[in-house]
Amino acid sequence: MRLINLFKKELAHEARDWVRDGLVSDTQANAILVRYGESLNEDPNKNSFGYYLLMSLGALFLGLALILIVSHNWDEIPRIVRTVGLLLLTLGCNGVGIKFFLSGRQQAGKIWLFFGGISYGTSIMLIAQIYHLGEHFPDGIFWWAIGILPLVIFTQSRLLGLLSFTLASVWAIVETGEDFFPTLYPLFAIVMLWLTLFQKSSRLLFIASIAGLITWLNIGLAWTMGEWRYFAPFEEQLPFSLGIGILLNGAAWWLMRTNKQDWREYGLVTHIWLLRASIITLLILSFEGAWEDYSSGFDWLSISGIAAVFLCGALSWFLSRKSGLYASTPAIIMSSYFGCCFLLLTAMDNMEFVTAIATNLILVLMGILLIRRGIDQNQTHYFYTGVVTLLLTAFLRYFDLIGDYIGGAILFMVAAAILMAAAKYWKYHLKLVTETGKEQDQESA
Amino acid sequence: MDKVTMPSWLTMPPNRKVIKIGLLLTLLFQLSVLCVEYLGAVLPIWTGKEIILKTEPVDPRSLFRGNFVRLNFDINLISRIDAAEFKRGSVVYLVLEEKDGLWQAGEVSSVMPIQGDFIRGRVRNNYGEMLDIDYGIEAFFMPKEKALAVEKEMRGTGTAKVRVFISDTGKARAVGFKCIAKACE
Repeated sequence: MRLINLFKKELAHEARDWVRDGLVSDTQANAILVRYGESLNEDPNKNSFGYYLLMSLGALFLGLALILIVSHNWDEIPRIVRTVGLLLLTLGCNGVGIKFFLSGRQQAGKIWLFFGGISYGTSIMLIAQIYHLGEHFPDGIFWWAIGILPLVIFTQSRLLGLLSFTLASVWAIVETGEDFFPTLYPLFAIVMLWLTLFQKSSRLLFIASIAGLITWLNIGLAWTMGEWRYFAPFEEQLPFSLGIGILLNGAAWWLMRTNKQDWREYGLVTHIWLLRASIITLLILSFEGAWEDYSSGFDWLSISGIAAVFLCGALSWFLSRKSGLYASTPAIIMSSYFGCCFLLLTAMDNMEFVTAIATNLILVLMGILLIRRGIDQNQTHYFYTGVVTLLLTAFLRYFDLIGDYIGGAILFMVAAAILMAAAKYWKYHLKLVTETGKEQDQESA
Repeated sequence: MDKVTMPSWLTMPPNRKVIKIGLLLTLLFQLSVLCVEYLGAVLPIWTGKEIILKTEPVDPRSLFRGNFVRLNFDINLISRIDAAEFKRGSVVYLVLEEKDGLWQAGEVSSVMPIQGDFIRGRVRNNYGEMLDIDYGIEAFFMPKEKALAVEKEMRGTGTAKVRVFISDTGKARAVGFKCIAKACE
């Protein structure tokens, strides 16, 4: 799937200008836009969406004001007045929201429910404040988030989804910070995935849910290693996390092949963010020190970590193989490279030097593939990402030499040889393509 | 292109009747959460016994609840040889013994005592032979000016006495300062 799908609204805007200037007909413009799930007709909800967005932000600001007013702690006002006041506000806002929603004024209903949701959370905090409840304060945020979650299901509102998921994520962070495991966090992510995959389109909520689930899985591994009593992060989490990333990339390519426009966009966005994350990860792993924490010696944990990388690579390849070589090759390269690096570190001592060199060469290879993909598919994003990857690798290695000066120079020479070989191959490949094209023209003539 | 088909229960939005009932139940759920929280907060005050505990307050700010005075009670840290046997997060009961108008720490147990004064808490941590226990009364919320005034008054002596109510089950609620700094001497 092409990046232009992420700019389809802008494309529709451009197409309207082309029709107005007489460059293309209505039918032609519509035929182009249909490919991207758009049409020439002005989106009838466009203006009402602007109104909805500003009203939602207004409700958010009002909610923040309410939290601050309550935080001021008006202890001269009797407790019962403060408590009943906020309870009535919560009841009132939600009541009005439900009434509007059921009577067909859905946007207004959602905004009232959104403010009612903030009021509900403020009431939780106010009661805690009035009665000096100091018990495990993340529980308050959890009850706030879970109290809004059913509203997301029944209204299918992205705004309420964003509020509930943001609160759930804050809860997960503070709960982890207090050394407790946020067991129920996936419940929120699953509801958001249901909302975005089957009901409404929201790239932000989709990506946030996926990122949240991966993070939760990681802290879950650390919690499991601490025998479900405390967090015990371990080195072997790295291969597990990398394996999940590789598998997710395969899933992203599968999403890009589906017959649903929204899913294709989710796949593309996931792929782009994974690409960026993988470059940052590789740049970190290009330092020798980054591998030093990974322990040597075979045990069930290191073996299962390595097996997870290979297994995820195979699954990723299976999911992405129909999308072409640019999709499936990285699954094989990355899983083989990571799997072999971890295998080497586990089997032998002092192999960090070798794995760091391998990572630098993988970065060079990745840069070349991205530049090639950018030119082949006429997509500047991949082209420039490839150029930046190569330049960053060169920059880092120039200042942080692997080995001594000679070692650094050898690494640069190997990288230069790979780049030049790739350029030569490209030239040869282009020549072959041109000659084949000429032969075909002659035959057809 | 891979054709994806999904069961209708996943893709169909709920019908109007389900939405109506669901929204009303959600509102009821929200109000229930608030009522349970409220009753949990006031019941120990309405039905419990008043005790006095010694504390050392400091003044931080909560993101959602405003300024509060963090109360470090003497009974938060309990010395036990078998401290490691108490799991983090587990419920414990501390027997309280009165001495000169102040309640002090007695035995710690994971079983609720049958008689006497006791307070219910959760093990926050265990360091060697020390148990760090939270009783849910460690945060005392006040307007910013009052919190700073308490902090100023505390400078030098660093101690205060707090009025706390404990229910029959050991649940505790702090209701106010009995005295601060020099006034306690």
